[in-house]
Amino acid sequence: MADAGTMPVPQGYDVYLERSKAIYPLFERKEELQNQTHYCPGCGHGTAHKLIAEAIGELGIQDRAVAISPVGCSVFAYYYFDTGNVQAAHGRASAVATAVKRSRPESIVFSYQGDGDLAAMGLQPSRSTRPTAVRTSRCSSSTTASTA
Amino acid sequence: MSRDANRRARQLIKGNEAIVKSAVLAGCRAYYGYPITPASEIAEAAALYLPRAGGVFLQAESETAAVNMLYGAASAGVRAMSASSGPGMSLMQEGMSYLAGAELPCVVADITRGGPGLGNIAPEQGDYFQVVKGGGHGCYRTLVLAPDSCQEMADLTTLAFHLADEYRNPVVVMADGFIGQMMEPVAFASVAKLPPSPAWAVRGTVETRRNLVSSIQLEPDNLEAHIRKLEQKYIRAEREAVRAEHVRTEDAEVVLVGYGVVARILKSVVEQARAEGLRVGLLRPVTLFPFPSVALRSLARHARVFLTVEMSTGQMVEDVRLALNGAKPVEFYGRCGGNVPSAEELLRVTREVARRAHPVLIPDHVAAQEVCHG
Repeated sequence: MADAGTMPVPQGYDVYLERSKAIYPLFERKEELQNQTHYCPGCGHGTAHKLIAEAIGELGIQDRAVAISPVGCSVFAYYYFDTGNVQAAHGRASAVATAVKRSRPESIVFSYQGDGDLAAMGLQPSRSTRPTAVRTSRCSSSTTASTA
Repeated sequence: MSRDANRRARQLIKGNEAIVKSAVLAGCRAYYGYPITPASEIAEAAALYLPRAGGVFLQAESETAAVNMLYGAASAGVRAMSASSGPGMSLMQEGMSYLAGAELPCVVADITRGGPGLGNIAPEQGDYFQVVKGGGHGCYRTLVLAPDSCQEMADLTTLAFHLADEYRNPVVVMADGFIGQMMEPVAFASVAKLPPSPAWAVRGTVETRRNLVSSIQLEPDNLEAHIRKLEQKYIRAEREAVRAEHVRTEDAEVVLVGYGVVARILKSVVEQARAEGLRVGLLRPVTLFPFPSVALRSLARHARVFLTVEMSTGQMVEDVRLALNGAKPVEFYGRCGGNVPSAEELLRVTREVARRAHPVLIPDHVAAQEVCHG
């Protein structure tokens, strides 16, 4: 079994072995969830969160970042993202995001939405945002992150 | 109108435009909305005034998006508003519930028109249940202010922003299309000092990085505690924020109750009825929630009968009956579909109600006149 530290790095890729400062080092089990779980074992949200947090760290925008979380399991994305957090109604995260951005132009706002929240119910509100980048990560709940 | 307002220069202005001008003076720096008759001049004026004041105007693709943009702007700690009429207000109700749940301050003007469905674009008061009782889901209320003049469109908009901040709750300025479309001289308040951004806002700064705006409480005990907190705000509003105008109610045997343009017509009715020797007064709720129940109850001591007039088939009358709790009879007269009752029509109704309540209330010469006119 190959050691991850000695694996060859493909051309054009950088390897980061440090944890991003944009995500809490420990995910404290919230008092209200003592008898419940949050993300299920095997869920892809953890990976999506980690990738977004790393991008925030790389870009050095943690203090300016505002996460708009959707409805669904990732409604609690604010448990994990050490950024400003606003929780939106189902399908409305991009409408909320555009107003946060327009109110605070220095902020970097991103909405974190799944296929239903963004692409089905949320397709119309997402028209009023001006996405600068849309990244789609395929994971168990087809989560899409878009920046307003 | 306050004495202070009398001293200031007045501007002839449409009710709808007065809302926007007053909002900007009160520190509103964000308008998100979708135009609809008879509220469209609000969006039009906002498109003119907001950018000039360094604010944001955006025509959303729907009222659903607009109300969620209000949610975003309020989350970012900016004084924000929107406006609509019946069909658009229906679309906004989901967002009103979220705004109240997340305790976000903002102002929405509802310039009411005929319904249900597409209805028409003439003034009606059929939105009372939706706006005052809360058309969204869950245990929440919106504070509702009901102007009856262009001056009050300005003054109550100023008040709405203060109440929204004080109670961290959406406030609705509900005026019928009549008040929205008419022009009157208005004295505006001086420019308000912009309040500091609230500490709880999410501004995308290092100081506000740990802030969270949300309406979700998964644990029942936590949600109940949150709802009880909201409930306490509404109880405090009922104690501290309630407003009503009294017109010759001090000795009234017939108390008329009406708001918006109806109250203006009822003021004429009070004058004419008094000239005929009938002891008639008017109680005009200025706040529809909180409702002036205590003021109404105190009038029951000397009133023989209450007559509620609305441009609907009877919505506010339920609150009048709840307030009086059977202490005195409550009669109702309504016009709807965009028809505005005339003073003559309402005077006739007032005489009939007075006669039914107590025949000797009607002086003989008035009774004779009634017979002559059939």
